Amino acid sequence: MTKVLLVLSLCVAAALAAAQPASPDWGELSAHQQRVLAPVSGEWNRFAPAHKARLLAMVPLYDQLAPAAQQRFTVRLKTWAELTGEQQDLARQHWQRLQALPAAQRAGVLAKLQSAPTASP
Amino acid sequence: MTRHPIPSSDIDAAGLRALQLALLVLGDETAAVVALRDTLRVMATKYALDIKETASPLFQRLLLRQVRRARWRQRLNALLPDLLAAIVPPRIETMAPGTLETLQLEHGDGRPAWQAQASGGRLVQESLRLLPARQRTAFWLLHVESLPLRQAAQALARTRRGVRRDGARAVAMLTAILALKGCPVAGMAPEAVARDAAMALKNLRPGLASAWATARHDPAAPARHNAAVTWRRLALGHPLGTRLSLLATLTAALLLGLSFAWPRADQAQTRADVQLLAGDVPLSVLLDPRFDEAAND
Repeated sequence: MTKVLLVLSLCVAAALAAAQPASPDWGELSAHQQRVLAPVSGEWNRFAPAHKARLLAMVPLYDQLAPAAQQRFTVRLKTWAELTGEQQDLARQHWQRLQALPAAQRAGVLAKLQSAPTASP
Repeated sequence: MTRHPIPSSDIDAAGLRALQLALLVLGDETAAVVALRDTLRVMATKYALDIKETASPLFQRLLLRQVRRARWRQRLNALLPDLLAAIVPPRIETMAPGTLETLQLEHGDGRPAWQAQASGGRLVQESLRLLPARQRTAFWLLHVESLPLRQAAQALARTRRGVRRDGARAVAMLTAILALKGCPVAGMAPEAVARDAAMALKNLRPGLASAWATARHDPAAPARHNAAVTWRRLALGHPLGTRLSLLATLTAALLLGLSFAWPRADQAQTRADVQLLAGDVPLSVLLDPRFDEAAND
């Protein structure tokens, strides 16, 4: 009985250990992934596993972008990766609100906010 | 190969031995009858085994499993009274001697040999109760059921070496107790002591005949063979079957847990994030504290 319990405990421990999300280091990424995620190469190894998974999921979508969009993506990626979860949520909400606005109103909002510099990133 | 019909007396002998083992472990005739009846029912309904196969190691395995479950039920039922007794101990603790201490064998000329006496059988029975479960079952299968070592190991899902070792330890302990009770076992070969002990136990079996008749009353008709029965019998028949099944279940649970725990990025959100990052709106605008004010104007 003791042995059975020991084996069960080991299995549960192994299951818990294996259930931890994979967290690949920078060196374990493919060359293509490294090229797309190059802006965050310096910080990559200290990112949380879930954060790494989100960034890795962006790589195939990046390939479908136009070259100009890819360039914008690369420029903003480092800033985006350093934002807190709350800041990212706020940016998503604002972006969705902008998408929902009529084109003229959207252009007006952008003009108003870009006219004066702010302290925000 | 033709299969010869198994005489009813052989089935009865196997049933009586099974009942005696259940009684030995459970110490209660009603519980032993229920365990044996459950074994016969499970044997028929889940494994499509007939009562004629009570002599097979598979039956032993099923019996031991049912006896173990009955023992757990007994322990659970006794849990509350035991806890209460631990909290409120009895005022007067009785120090009555146990059955093993009070059992006396008749020695001397003209007296039957110890293994032929009723008290000899009870002495072996009480001695076996003292043994750890592994040693007791190893002794039982090797010397009472007379199974070959390979089949005994199969029935217990253990290695032959382990079963042989536990059987030898059981015989050594039995020899020591019998010697203390004045039985002439000193210097005898372990096999001879085990044979005499098995013979002594046999003398107790006629008293269990009515209980066995109750246990085998109206056995369920064997189920028809199908794939599920085949797999169950395969798992039951293989020494590692149960363990492999357990391992397979654990692996499946592990993979299932892994699939849930694996960080799967929300596809819709990832797509939205990529559009946001690649779009024509700078992040500074999206994070501007005046955004709400500007959007509401």
